[in-house]
Amino acid sequence: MRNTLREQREARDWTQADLAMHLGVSRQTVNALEAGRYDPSLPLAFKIALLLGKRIEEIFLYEA
Amino acid sequence: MIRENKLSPPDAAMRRFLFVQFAVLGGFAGVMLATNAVIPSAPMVWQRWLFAAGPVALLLVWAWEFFRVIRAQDEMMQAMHLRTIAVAAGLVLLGASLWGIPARLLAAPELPAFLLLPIFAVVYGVLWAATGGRR
Repeated sequence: MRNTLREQREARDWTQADLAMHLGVSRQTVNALEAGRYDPSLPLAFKIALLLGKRIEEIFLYEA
Repeated sequence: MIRENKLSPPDAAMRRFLFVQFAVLGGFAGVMLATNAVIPSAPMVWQRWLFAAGPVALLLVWAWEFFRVIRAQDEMMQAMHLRTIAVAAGLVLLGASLWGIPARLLAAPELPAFLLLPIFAVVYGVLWAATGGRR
């Protein structure tokens, strides 16, 4: 799965630590999400989408 | 724009745990040395039990803090911690069992059971660093 999390974060001029704090996750998790090394659970994906004011499919893009 | 020098709850819990871990394991080593020196001179059995309670309490504190820090982590970090725990526990069990064979058959020194948890903590820390847990 690909995602636009880094672009969305940088558009807000947030650091990974800022985003981690808002999501209540570790900075390593934000790093892994952005690098595509970790696919979030549905609740975390919803949390990210709500925080960024986007739909889930605008952030996470499924690639077969 | 946000620029707060605050840590997220999982990051803050991990930082706290690292301090507590060094204090507890350092204290454990010190208390074990002191207890070994004092216990032979304690005449009463209850006094020996009292001295032995110090290291036991420190290991229990470490186990409780370890449990707490993992509970405070997010979903990805919890999964990574649990995988590392499984591998570290397996390695310690394997090493202890393998060491038991020469200890039994060749009269090599026994591995004291009280060292299993500190050895696990060290193996866990090495694995955590080696598998990118600190990224």
